[in-house]
Amino acid sequence: MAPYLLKRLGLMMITFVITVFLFFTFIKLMPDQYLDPFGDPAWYEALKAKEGWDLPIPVQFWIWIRNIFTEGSFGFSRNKATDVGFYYFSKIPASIQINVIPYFLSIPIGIGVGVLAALYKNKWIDNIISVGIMVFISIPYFVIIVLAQYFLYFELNIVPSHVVATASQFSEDFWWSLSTYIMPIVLLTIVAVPGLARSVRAELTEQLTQDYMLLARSKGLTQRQATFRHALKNAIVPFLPGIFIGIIGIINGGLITERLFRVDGTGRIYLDAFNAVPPDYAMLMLINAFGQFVGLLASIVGDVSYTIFDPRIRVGSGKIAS
Amino acid sequence: MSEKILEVKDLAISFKTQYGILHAIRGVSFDLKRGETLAIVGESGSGKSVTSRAIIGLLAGNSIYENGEIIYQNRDLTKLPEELFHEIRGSRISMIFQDPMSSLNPIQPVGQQIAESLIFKSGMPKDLAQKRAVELMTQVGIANAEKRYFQFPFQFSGGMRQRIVISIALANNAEILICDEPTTALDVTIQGQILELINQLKVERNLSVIFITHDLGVVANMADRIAVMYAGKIVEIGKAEEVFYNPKHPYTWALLSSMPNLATSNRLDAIPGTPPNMTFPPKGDPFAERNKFAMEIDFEQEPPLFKVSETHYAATWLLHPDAPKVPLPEAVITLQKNRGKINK
Amino acid sequence: MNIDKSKLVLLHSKNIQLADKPLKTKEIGYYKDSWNRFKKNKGALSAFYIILGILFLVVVGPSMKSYDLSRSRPDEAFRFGYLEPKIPILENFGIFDGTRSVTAGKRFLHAIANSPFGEGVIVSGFPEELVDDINHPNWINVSELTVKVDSYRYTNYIQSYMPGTYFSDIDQGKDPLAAVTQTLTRDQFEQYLSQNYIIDIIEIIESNNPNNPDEAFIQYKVRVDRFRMFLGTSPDDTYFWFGTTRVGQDLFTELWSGARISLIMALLVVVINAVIGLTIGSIVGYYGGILDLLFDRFVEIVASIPFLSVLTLLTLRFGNELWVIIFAFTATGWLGSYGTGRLQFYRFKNREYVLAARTLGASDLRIMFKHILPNTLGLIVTSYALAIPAFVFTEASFSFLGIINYQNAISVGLLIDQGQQEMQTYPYLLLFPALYIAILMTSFNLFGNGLRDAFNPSLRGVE
Repeated sequence: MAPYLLKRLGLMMITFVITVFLFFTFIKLMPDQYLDPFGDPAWYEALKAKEGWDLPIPVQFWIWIRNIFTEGSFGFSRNKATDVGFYYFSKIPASIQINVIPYFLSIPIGIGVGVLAALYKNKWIDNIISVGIMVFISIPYFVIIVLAQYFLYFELNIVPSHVVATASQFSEDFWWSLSTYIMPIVLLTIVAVPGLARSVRAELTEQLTQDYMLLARSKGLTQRQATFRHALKNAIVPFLPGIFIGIIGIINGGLITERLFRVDGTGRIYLDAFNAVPPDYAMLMLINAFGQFVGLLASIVGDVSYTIFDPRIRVGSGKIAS
Repeated sequence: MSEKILEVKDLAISFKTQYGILHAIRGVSFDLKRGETLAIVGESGSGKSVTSRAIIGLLAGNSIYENGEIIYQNRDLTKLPEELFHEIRGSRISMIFQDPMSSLNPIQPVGQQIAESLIFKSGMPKDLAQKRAVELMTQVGIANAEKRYFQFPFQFSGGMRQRIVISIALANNAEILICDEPTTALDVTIQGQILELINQLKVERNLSVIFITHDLGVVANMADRIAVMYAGKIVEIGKAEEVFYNPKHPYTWALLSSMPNLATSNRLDAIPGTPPNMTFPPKGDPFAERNKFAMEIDFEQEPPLFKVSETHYAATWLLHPDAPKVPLPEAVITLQKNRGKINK
Repeated sequence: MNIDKSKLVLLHSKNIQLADKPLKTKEIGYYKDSWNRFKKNKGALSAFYIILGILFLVVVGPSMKSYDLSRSRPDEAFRFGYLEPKIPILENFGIFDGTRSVTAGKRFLHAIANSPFGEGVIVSGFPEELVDDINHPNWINVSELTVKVDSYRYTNYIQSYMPGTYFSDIDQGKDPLAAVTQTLTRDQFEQYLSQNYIIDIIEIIESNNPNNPDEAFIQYKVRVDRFRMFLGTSPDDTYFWFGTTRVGQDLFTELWSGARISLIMALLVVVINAVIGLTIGSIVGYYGGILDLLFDRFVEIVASIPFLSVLTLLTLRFGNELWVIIFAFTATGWLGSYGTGRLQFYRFKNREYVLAARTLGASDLRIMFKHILPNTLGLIVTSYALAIPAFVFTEASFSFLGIINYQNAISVGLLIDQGQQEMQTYPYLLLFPALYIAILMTSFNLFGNGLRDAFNPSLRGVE
């Protein structure tokens, strides 16, 4: 197992470095990449030197990496007038805040709904659930949120606000500000549930038809015992790595979420950087690279969890036995 | 030793399909005596698996009980509700299946799968169940059972897996064991071992075994009695010697003729045609259209079971007192001639 | 037992050739069988019809209304902004009848209620007492009221007759009718008159004519009926089924134009992805070996690049043309088909019938296309049926965010974005595009799922 993992790790790192470099190059090739002189000329020259704007691109890449490790500096953002890394990382907590509860809530709910649908397959419970899943999966996420905002807040007025409270509002009225988080959290949970529910339902239905279920019943287990002790475990195992990967994903602020709920997190920064004139390339570079990095972490976590959960991989030669 | 432990009376079961009602079994009757092995032989689609599933109560959702009873311990199993049925399975009646790889839960250690039976059916505490499971594994011939308790199904060979399945089936000392083609998926050499094992366990535990197969060769070593099924009915039933050396039904003849036999150089006599579609059961004897020895009446009326001896019956019009005499096929004659040499 | 003993005679002679009886059940081909299965799935079938309906509207919809003002004269089109949806038969039931709530000054509303041109503008909500006496004691302290108006008539009123600022302009000493009056020459006047555009004449201005001192240069300051002039119909006969946008575009036309573009692009993207992916996948899957190893690395790199990054970088560099967007989608989109093609080829490459064909001397190409590819057809069709809504989904999300932003074309995501900003006051701007996407996506997904179940017989009988 260990050599297998190490090999995978090595490959992933190489891919990571290559892709980041590709981004970097592409960005550096943009026409309006280099900022025109602004502010204090001496300071501008210093910045130019530090980031190596006159030097060939691969060298710049090296400088960029070196800056990261020596100073923790990721580049300078004109829009935010500060080091992009500093700005970006300071916004991560806000993103995590709004992502974390829905994620952890949606897992048991999603599994539960999927199991329910599979157990009562084709009965009315399943039909309702299936229709619900179909609708929520089809309709784009932002449409659901926008419609919900409209109906819950503007029409029926049952939520305090259609956006979340800002930091200053928090210091004014803590409890009210906290209550503004209720609708987003509920909505985000609801949209996260159908995906998992659908997969679990499909997988569990499949597992229920497997031969080992027949054996389990011929052993004398009731349908219920056989389902929960055998089929369920087999059905959920394929999704566990995904769930762990998702935990890593909480860091990434959803662009749509943050825009619609006016969360001051990392997703928003992306849109700001994109829409700025000229675009805030340093920020974009960081966001892309960081996103890649998060993806890398997620893959590692995923691979490791596969080996933990699937005994065939753990004990075998690294290939999944058919 | 020859008391009846299970009685199947006139069982008829059908299935609802999108093409119509499939009449899988159309009136099957037989007894199982304590301590004997009854083999049920037939082609795919003859209804043999359905019969066994009916006995253990694990038919598919679209099944319909048209008629008949299955009497076990003074109860009719066809009328038994599921809540009571699961108490019988595993502890009184057990079953083993064709493909041991898919029968076992791939992500659970095998020992636990055995222990589970013990814990749930006999209420044994976990540590005791574990010990007992290891014992069982050793009994069925798995070396190093203590270590292998924690291994997964994919770490065992096919034969080993089937042994594990057998140990699961017998963990709670069932008295009836149904084997649904347990060796079909195994190599021939391993087949022998598994059959040996079943025979051995049968003697040790005084089991009654129903052995389902399409392979007459396998049956020869195992069965005390043989029932031959075709198109949802039993066409011949009798003691093993009777069916092998004095078969009366043309289908049995055809089966015996189509077995490759190393001892002779007779031409292989394949049975032409295919079994009938049981959604539209034919009128008369279903075997008629493939039957070399069919008579006019075979296409009009289905033959009843004619008595050949106290223990031997066959459903063919050829046994009617006024029916013409037909010559036995070569293969059957060869068998009779080699009778003395084959006996084990 | 009673039987006819005469029947106990053997029928067959020794040598008998038994032919297989013809099957009693009808035989059906794979496609017909799949279609049958598909038909049974009521949800998928209705989804299919809905999709057909949408396709029809996409083709025909944008031309259904010959309203071109927003393109030909955008500044005039502004006047017709924010008209509520009005649908012929439904308006009689009180829904989509073109009415809206409006809050306006007491004096203004009073003027409307009492002027001939303002007839029928206010539908409800204006108290009877105020119609007669603007200084009615009950309403002394009230300066503004909220009433329900017919938005078409209301719009015509404030665009042609009396602007909303009338009374506040008077208060401030400005010309209150400046926004609605036009000054015409005599010829223009005659022309407008003949076409019934003129409501009334405010003033006739005479001035000296430098060209001809004897004849005065007459100008007419008039109020024109803008609806009649620009739309050719009276407010009552004007129907904007989905209403109009802020700048006076017909939402119905815009929506179906946007839908048309996104569906065409979806088709293009899917087809391109399929061609590229399947071709490369087949070749790699079939020949395997080093090619496979190389591509494995390559694919892994491409796959790890998030789509968002590709999209943003490309649009930043090359602008927002349609082809840029298509390129962005296909740059990483071909991977799916590649995976499928490669998998299928691996699977079938070593099947007996392929080996048999090879022994018979079939060329590689022939094997690939005639033997292996048809087996994948079911898989391909299903995944593409589901790829189209996936594209629409992504495209709508990104145009909503503003990352995709066509210059000349409209996008449904953009419509939703605009609608969202105005959802408090003009909810219909949000509701129609949102509903469209919801129905389109749900239908496509149901349809795609139905296809997948239909082509996959192993699901049959699974209870």
